[in-house]
Amino acid sequence: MAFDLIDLKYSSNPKDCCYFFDSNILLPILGLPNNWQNTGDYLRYFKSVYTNCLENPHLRIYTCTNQLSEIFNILMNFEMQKIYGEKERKDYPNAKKFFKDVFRPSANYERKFELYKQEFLNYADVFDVIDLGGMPLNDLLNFDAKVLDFNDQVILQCVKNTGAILVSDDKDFYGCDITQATLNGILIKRFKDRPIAAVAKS
Amino acid sequence: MNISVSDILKSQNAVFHEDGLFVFDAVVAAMDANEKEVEVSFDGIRVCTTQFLNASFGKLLLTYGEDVVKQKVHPVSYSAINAFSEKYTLVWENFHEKNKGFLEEAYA
Repeated sequence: MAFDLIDLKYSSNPKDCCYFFDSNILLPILGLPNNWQNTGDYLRYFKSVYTNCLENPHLRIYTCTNQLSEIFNILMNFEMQKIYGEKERKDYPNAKKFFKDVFRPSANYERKFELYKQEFLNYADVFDVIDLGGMPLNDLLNFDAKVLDFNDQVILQCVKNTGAILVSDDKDFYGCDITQATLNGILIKRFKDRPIAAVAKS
Repeated sequence: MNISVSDILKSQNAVFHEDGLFVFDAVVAAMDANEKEVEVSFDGIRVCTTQFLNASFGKLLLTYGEDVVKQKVHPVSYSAINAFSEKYTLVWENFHEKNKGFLEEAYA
């Protein structure tokens, strides 16, 4: 399978297919404020996919433990930053130590974690947690680290294994053997302008 | 003036970004009509997410600023919603933090 791209601007109805949403799209779904161009449109698309999955129980949205870990680490670090003020920085110049020794044992941490957990559970009826059980370590670690980070590599392998559509604004997945749905204008242009030989191949 | 979220959404669930924008638009219309105060009623709403509150109250904060929203827009009848106050507080907290760069870091 060659790389294929869905331009969400012109194809906003979900396909009869399972989906994998990139972490940067799941973050605002879980309540992090919108902060970048197109977030609203991705959130609208998530609603369409979610509704479609509810109506068609064989369709699922996938996540993996690696992505859950990444998302909760980002959310809880974001919450820590709110209380990591001048005084705290003086007492704990190492933010990781402040997180572990002060923030994590606090009632505030517990409340915030519970809040984000409940946010995710609102959508639990359409999510499946999948993983790469049995994948040889050689294959998992065999990727271009200059292009993808490890979290991206895990997501890529999950998407490849399931044939799901990846919804992502990230241009780094370009050329991988998957279908990506995006609103990233640079990526869309690059795909439309790809060399003729690549068009024939896809 | 009282705005009913369940009437606008025709649902017991206030979950999605789009739903929040519908409520945002209704509040803006009330503000444009020079209503002194706007009560946003969650009567009949069972589930409400932070995603929804960001698109409604979060956008109101960005549009009108803290003082106007605090003075004029009030959520009411939300006691049946789990953790509503915490979620609402989170939206305000995030508004206060918006210029400190944490958000850019989170999305990096």
